[in-house]
Amino acid sequence: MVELREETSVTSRFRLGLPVVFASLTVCGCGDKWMMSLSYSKNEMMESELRDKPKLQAAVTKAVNTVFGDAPDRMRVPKGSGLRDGGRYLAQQWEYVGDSPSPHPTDQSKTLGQYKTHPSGGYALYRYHCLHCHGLSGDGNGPTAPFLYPKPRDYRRGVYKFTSTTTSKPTRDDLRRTLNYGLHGTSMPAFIAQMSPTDIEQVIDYVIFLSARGETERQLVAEAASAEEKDAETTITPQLAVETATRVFDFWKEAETQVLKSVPPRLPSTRESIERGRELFLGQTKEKLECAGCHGPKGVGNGPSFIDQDVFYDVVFHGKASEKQELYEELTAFDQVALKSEAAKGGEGWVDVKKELAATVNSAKGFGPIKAVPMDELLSRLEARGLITRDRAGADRVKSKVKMSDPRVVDLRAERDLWEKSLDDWENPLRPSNLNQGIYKGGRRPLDLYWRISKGINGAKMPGHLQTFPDQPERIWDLVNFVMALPYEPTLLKDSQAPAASPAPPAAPKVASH
Amino acid sequence: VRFWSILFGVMAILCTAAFVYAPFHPDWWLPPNVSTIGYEVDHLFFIILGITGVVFIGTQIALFWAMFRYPAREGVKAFYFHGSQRLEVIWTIIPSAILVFIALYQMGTWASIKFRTSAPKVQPLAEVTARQFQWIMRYPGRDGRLGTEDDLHLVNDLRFVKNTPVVIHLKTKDVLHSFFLPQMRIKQDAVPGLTIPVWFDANKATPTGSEYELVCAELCGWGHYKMRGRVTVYETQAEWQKWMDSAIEEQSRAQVAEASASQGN
Repeated sequence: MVELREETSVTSRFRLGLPVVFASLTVCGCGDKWMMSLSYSKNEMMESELRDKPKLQAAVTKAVNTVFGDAPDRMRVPKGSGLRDGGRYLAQQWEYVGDSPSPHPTDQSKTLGQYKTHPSGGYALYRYHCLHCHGLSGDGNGPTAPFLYPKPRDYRRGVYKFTSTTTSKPTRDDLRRTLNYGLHGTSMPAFIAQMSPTDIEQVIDYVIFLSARGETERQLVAEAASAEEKDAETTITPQLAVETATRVFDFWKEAETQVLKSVPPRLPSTRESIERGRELFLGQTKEKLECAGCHGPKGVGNGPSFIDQDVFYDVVFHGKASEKQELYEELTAFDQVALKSEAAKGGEGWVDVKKELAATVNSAKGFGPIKAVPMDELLSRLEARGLITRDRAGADRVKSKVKMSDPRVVDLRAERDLWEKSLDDWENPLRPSNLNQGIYKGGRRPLDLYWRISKGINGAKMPGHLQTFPDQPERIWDLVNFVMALPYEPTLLKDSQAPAASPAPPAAPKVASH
Repeated sequence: VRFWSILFGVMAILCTAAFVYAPFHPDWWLPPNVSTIGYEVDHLFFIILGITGVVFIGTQIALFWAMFRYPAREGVKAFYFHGSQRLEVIWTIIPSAILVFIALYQMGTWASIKFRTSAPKVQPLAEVTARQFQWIMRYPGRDGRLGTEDDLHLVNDLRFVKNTPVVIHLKTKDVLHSFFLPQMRIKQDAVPGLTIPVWFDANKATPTGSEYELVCAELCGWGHYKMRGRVTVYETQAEWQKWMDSAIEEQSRAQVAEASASQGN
């Protein structure tokens, strides 16, 4: 009987549960109405630049919110943003920030050309197509971002790699090309079949909005970093935010006029032109270009000026801690040991690790998330490299075996620096392109390649070469012709030798940082 | 006592209603067929749908009746019996016969859309490489050969001429994908390491302002839904050639476009 009662209670629980399941099934996919309101994520610069300064943090947040709205569904745009119709297509609700903010409900049935405007504008489209990688705040850290390499673009710096302009801001046309055709060789797909041209324009509006919001926030944080906590309210004012935002939007507007338009006529891709390009690539001309230093003598992207390919793969694809971070920790520890050893010659150079080093090493900043390495492991690594000796009796005592200027230590420092120089502005490890594959992230039109070589890749290590040939820009076409021919003629670089290792890749082009 | 039988009965009626209603609603039904072979595929589809529909209704009635007629009742003891051999033989033979019938009946259609010997003897229109998450298309340029410098590289953009047999070479760079043209009733998995020829045609050009679809029909990862492409069918070879010429011209662009800010396509 007892069993029977249990049976009935299970059944009645099912009877209660089923309607709930059905009810939730009918609600699924009902969209916005049922969704909780989303809010922007906190900028990590707040912690790194304004740690323990809650008032300044609050002032920055407040200032940004006054200009851009405190949540995506309460969006604002400053006047004169340059967005189409003052930001009319960002979302359903919009308002001006001016003397008196006033809401303007939008007409949902408004049509643009032959396509009906999406009722919820750029924000809705962004949420559907882009958010899962680029994140709600445009920080390139959405839920699916960890699956990808290269990582999705963080818009908040306002720097874009592949532009046609002489600055690091793209034109709308550049963004349009990226959205329509994707970035080959990356995870950015082509959206031409997913969205109508009208949709694409709305997404462009929204991306510019997010980018401007993020860049304004960055600039305000930078401003706040040099301010006093007690003056938070008076230094970081909404007025300052409006001015900053206006300046950022102005850069976007200027970008439209800064396209590198003066392109000499393309030289025909003759054998001679390709050969001239090959000589340029290998640095055999008097300009001594260093293409092969990064792209490698065979153009496969393994030049000596970059961190070793295997190390790169280990870090990026096998999740190993970055070599550089380990080197940082090791070198910090070693420097301390060496320093104290020198000072403690009376005691034969022995240093008590626990007493002398623990604080220093743990406060040494690594890159990315700081890894608290057990002191013991760190010392074992140093010992394995033959840099220190540990006291046999007590492991707490160590002394350095070599001087700080020992070639081995100097080599390690060079390696560490190389890592640092192999990062892009977003601090992600980079690879020079493998030119044999015929995959060009920034576009495969000869014009795109001309732009890439002449003005470089913003935020990355590819420098611009226009200034190398001030009087003969047409020679860049020789390089373009060579690069375009290489995938089909791998024999072009069959016998080329590795150049002597240059200590560092050429400096990134100095582009205006806006 | 009869809660479960009623619940299952209602569900069965709802399913049957949906089944009967589907042909009358364009979104619930197949998109219009535009290919030559599509009629045969649809014919097979309807036959299978009919058989499964009849079987579904029959088994649902039997299930409902069994549950309704013999629910658990207080004081009534369940009893055990070995079953009916005759019944088991019947319900094994009928489905087997149906399966054998379908297997034999579809052979001709299958051969004409899948056997390599029946592939039309034409130059491949393009090489289509699937990757997470898009269709990379490479058309032989003016020289008609793939793998040369004048290849046209496009993404998610398939275009051909009506009433001409089309062959594409299907590949994948990463995982399994499935190349599916709903309007042309053709579906083919892309398998890593293989180059698979797929052929189809269309007897109706895409009306202006709209397009046919290319979708991925194999769950290939989190961005599966993004793998959609546009399919445009032109009325004449000349129109197609005009598009091809302009696409090649755009791909070989070496100067900034003067008047138009938008790139067009």
